[in-house]
Amino acid sequence: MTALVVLVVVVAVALTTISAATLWWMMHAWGSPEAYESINAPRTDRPGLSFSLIMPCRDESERVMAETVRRLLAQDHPDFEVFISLGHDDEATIEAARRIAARDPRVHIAINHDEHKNKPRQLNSTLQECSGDVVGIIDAESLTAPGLLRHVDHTFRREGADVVQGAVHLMNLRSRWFSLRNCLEYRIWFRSRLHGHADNGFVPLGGNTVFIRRALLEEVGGWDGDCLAEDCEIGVRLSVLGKKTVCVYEPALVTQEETPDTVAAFVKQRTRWALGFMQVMAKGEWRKLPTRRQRVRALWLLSQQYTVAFAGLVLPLAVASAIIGGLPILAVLIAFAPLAPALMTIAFEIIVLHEFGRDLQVRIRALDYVWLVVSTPFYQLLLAAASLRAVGKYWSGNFSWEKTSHVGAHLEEVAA
Amino acid sequence: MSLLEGRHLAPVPTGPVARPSDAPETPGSLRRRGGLGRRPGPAVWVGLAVALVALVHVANLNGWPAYFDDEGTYVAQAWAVYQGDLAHYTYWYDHPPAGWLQLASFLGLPTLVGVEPSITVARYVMVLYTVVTALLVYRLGRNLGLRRGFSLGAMLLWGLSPLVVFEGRQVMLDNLTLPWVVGAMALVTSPRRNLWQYVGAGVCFGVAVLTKETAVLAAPALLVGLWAYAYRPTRAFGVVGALMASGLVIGLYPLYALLKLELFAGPDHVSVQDAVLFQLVDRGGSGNFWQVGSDAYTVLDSWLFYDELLPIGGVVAGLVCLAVPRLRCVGVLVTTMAVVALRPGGYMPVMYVIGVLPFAAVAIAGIADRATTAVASRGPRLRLAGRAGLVAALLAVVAWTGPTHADRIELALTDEGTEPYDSAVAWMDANLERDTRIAASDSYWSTLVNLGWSSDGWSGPIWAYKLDGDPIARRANLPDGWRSVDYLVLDRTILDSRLTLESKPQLSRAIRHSEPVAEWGERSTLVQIRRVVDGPAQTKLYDVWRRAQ
Repeated sequence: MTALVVLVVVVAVALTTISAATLWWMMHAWGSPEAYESINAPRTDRPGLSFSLIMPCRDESERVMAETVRRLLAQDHPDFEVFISLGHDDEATIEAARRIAARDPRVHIAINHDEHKNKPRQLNSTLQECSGDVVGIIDAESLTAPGLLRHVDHTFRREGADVVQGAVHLMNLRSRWFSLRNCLEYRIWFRSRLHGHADNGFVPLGGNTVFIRRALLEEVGGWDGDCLAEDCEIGVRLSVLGKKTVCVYEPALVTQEETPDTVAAFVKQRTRWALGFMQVMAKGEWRKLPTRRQRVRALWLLSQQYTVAFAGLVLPLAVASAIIGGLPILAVLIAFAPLAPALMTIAFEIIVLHEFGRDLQVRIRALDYVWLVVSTPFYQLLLAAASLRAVGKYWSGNFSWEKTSHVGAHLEEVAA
Repeated sequence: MSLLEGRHLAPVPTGPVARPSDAPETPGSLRRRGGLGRRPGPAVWVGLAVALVALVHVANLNGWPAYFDDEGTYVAQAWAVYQGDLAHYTYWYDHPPAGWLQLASFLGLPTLVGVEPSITVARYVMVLYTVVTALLVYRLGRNLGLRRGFSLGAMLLWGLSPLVVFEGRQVMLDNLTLPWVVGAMALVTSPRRNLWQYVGAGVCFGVAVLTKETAVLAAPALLVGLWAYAYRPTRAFGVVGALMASGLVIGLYPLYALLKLELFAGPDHVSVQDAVLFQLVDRGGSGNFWQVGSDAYTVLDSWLFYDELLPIGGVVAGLVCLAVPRLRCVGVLVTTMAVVALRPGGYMPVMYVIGVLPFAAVAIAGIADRATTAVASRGPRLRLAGRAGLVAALLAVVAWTGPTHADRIELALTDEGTEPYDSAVAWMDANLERDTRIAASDSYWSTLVNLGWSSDGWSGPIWAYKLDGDPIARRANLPDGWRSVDYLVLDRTILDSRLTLESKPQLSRAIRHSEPVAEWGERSTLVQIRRVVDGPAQTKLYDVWRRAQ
């Protein structure tokens, strides 16, 4: 009995800490007026830099690619080039890309000939063809806002930045049952948490709408060609070097994307991230971060998917075993403690969703709020499944790239 | 009319609540700011004022006022917490337990040096709570834009009020709520406007409600304060954070009852449902304040006996505060509590006033601050007139309440109201075997237990009203009922109402079948020890009762 009491209490305290810390970081931007206002809302002036934009593609539909390129070409910046980055074995996409490139001299094709294909390798080979001052990554299904480049240009010069991370939002709230939560997750990340990490000096970069000075990229040898979370990995290395990363947020300038189109695709994507994070953790670059605070935070971030998955799975177990096991009433009450930050998180998410709708002019219906709450445990299960799957793959040494396919659901959402 | 205008549209740049470096109250900053050869900084004044408040509350603390029944109740229940329970009689959800849990955590320390929990020790804990509340009153004043002098004035007006000394010294749950409620208000009006402060305010409010349910009356005022002072773009988060935090804390109470299967009423067990019905419905009304002779009238009269300025001036100032945006939250709190007090026919306990007094003080100081600035802003000549007016007003107030204040404070510092109690205890210590059963009011319980009597509630000191109030436990522990009781200690608490007494057959039979052996004090201070004797009745209940009136 005593052993069970100790176990339940220890687990409950751990879970409470995990959820409370996650809540704390999630709420960064809404925590104080200063944090709310310091989102580096970009401004514009006369452009002063040139850009090379890399658009990594694999098995993409022509329609999706064409729209992404059309949006890029609509940028009001005078000096940029677009590289559609492809693998040599992906002939259908190459054909489509050629047709798209033929329409505008600013669009080029870059073909990677590595035997094993993945995103970082395509990026590295494309980097060799870039000539702009700044290299930007734009995913194949991303709809960029027209003024983005001018604002990023200005931010680089005003802030003396080495890296500028733009914001990405998923827009197809209702495509699948998990889409709403997925969209909200991006909103919270780019509106709030990322800025908290930037304040702390450790920024795990995103893989999309991220801009890095080309000279710096060449200096650090580009991306890690074996890492499944190449974006996070390079972020760690740049943070270790003390490079200045500025995260910008402005609703009108966010890049719009889509959620994975099936549960399987979503789990694959998350497995890839989880596996990538494990690689980054194992590689150990984060240990070189200068301050203890940064290292703790990095460790937390890299292991977060497991702690959160663990929390999601164990929480009901802890509560149930405390009740069924006939534990002393105080132990049972302690077992309930992790519910407090969890419920508070959901309450805050409801307002975040409201704010999201307001900022991006998306109508949020009453049913969406209900769905947000109802889908929470199931979404947790998906995340936990992906994490467990990643662990399995890690042990069996399977690091192959499972790509997310893009159907263009966000195009309808945006058109509507 | 400028009195009614918001003087500060932007938040006043006062220091944050939670950052110690900015809180003038800490000893560290005291040294820093008030170094040698410099003009004393605000920290020195705050420190001196708090010391004065503490001194007045501590001096003669176990001499006055006479021990009140409830003090014994809470000390005994705090003591029961050490034994791993919430009460040594069946816990029947009379009040949520956070009050005596706090008390228990403070009573635990002195036991390490051999000082057993007693009402005296608990009264020192009350002084600690009073000191913290006084500092928070100052902080709240600053947050609301009051100048230092006026914030300090609010603190002293409250801390030195004879009514506050009277109520504040007694071990009562309402005193334990004060730092939480005033702290919650200081947090929601903090110039830092941080989300976690709002969550913290919600937690404070939740603890306050679990300490004493009446704290729930502060909810509208706290929301008004949060709404007025919060940063607009994130205000919704603040409101939700505060509501969630308080809901989660308060939720522990029904959760506890639910887990024990005591949330809803049922046969053969206590329940929250029964307790709530008792507190809200079954408890008799106290009549109306304006009906001479009603309970409510007597209660009001007892408040005004100690202090007229704070209750009356506070309500008037509170009403004016409703029209001042920056002070509205305080106005709402005072008004809410006043309206609830005035509802006809409600139950009105004497300690109800405790919760409103700190805010009454802030309201008075706030309006005084506004009035002087309003007059001063009308030009130099009026400024002079304003100063003269302020001085005149101060003099008038001193003339009005000064003599009473001085007299009542003297009472607090010198009276020996607990003497009959102490004598009775000394007599029992000297003359009674430790295995005697003594039915007395709650305040004797922990004292007798410390002297060696049993603490099981039945074979040593017995809460007198439990003879009739806990029949299941009585039948189990005292099969012979009142005949098993050896001695009775009768005091004001037990002899308060003849009707109540007659509704308790066990207790009243014990009284009828007893003879006096010793007594101290007279009338309302009477303490009488009686021995229960077998055989025919010895006395009439009425005669015993009348001696205490």
